Amino acid sequence: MRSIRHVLAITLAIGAAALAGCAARPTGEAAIYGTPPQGGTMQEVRNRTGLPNAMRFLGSGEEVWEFNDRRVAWGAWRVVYERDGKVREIMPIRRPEDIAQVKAGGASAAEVLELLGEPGGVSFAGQDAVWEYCLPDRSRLKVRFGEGKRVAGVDS
Amino acid sequence: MMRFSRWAVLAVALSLPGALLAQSKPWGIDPGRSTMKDVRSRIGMPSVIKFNAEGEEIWEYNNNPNGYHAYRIVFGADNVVKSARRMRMDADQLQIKPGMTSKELVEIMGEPSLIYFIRNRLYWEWRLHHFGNLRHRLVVEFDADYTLKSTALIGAHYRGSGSTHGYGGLTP
Repeated sequence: MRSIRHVLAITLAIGAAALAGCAARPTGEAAIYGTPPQGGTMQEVRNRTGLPNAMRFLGSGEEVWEFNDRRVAWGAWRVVYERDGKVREIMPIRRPEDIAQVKAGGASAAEVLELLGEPGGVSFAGQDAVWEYCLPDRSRLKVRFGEGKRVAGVDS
Repeated sequence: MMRFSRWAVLAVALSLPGALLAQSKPWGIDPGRSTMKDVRSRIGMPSVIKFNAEGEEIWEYNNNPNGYHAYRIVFGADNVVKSARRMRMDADQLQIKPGMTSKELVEIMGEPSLIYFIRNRLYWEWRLHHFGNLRHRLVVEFDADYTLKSTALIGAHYRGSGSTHGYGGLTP
């Protein structure tokens, strides 16, 4: 009798844990791009998420931190700060609408860097640089730059 | 004894040009001749890719957070190296002045090795060599308005500095 109770208790515990797991599963952007950086200020982002992979500045001087983890991450995030250190925006990068803007003959390398962030790898086709990205949908994207460092080809 | 000191002088004399060459041409990267492909194959992936106001591509190798060596390579529009230099040198440190913004500091020193907050104040830290080959940490404190307030240069071998066993990173 006691063993039946034990089995029942264990079964209920496993069921509850499974339900809790389902409830904790990330939804929305977090499900696609991974866990976003956390916090409302630079200090909170530093404490909760860590050091950025790259640091950039907008034309108007505002600081931007990029979390991409380069080769391993499929999603990437960008945090834009106000001048007083408050978070202005936390946004995923490498979204379908960003990728759609990277077309042959279109964007320059600087624009691709702004749209997609740091590439996970740089290789060469002849003397042409090829930037490689891991995308949130687990696919890979190769952007080849030609004359004038403009996009010459996109492979996915 | 005399013979030994002669050999020592000769060895130093022979090694100096090599050391100077390593500083001016890291990994044998030759401005005006070496291409982006050469840089990629000799040094590997840069830590950071960026573009300056003139649209020139810049590759930085900073070995953060533990490295004491950092290099900045600027490419022309033809993907040929325009300039290659070591960052975080004494001359760079002399350019740092109170009131500077984080953007200006990154332009001079490259990205910091560490970023942290103490009592709600922002601190950045670079690991670097000072007076030749002595390992130091340059710590800068920002004011409440996120402009540079003060700097401190700390020898990396002070007990408790936490960086005595730091990996020096890539060297040319």
